[in-house]
Amino acid sequence: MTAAEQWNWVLLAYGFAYVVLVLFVVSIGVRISRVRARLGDGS
Amino acid sequence: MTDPTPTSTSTTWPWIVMAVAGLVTFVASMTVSPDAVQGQLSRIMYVHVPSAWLAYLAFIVTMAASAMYLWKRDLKWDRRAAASAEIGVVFTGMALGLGMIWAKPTWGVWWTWDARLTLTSIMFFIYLGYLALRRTTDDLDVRARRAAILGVLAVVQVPLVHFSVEWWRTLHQPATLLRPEGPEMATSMLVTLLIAVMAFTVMYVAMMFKRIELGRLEDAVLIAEQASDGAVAGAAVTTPTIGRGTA
Repeated sequence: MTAAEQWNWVLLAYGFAYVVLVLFVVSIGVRISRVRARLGDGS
Repeated sequence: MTDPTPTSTSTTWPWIVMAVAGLVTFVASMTVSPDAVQGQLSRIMYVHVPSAWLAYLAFIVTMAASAMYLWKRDLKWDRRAAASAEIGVVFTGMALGLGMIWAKPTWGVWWTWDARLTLTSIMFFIYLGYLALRRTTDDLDVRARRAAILGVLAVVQVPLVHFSVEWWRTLHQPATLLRPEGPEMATSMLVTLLIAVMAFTVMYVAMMFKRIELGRLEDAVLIAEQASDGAVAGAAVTTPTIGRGTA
């Protein structure tokens, strides 16, 4: 396997990992905002 | 039981810490020299191993917080257990996914029914079950008690997964860091791996702060809704008017 092919796998792995992390963190933020809105709390 | 405080101030530092931890891991793992045998593929280790470590850590914290709930009956421990379990499920899923991406170019297959892989996937589904169990009732105390019992019992998966590579003949390599003889790898790779593990651990702590804040707010909503329902039901009940009807 060439170095370029190996880099493709590395980019796939890091892309997967960081997309999962960003989606999870954003989901926490969105849920906090929604619940605060339901409570009528703008902070 | 501790009542949640819905108007507590929302902190912003955990978001910054998470971003910095992610950036540190990325820069460290992209600048280290590649492995002599695996070449560039070895870079996957710097996110795969920290993800697996956080899965262990998160489920051990879930167990400890669950035990504290069963002892103190304070809902703050239930919220900590739930927060850690959710984060643990995410990192277990990441460890599995990254392992599959690493396995294809090195082993030639995406998946094999190896002891480590099989037990990790069982652990993943058991903690998904823990999160599903929490959605079966709106009674905060019942939910906390049921989840705490499972949270204490399910941690048996962690040593099973970790020692599976020692107890069974597996395709997966033995432990890299947590081994009795100490770590066995080039110093530059070891330092990078430790940086990644520490950065991910800091990220976990920051995630816990925000996820616990979310749990506190969700409990406050539940309590407010239940109080509101009770008030409506009470208002609907009127004194019987026997003998004063028109019929």
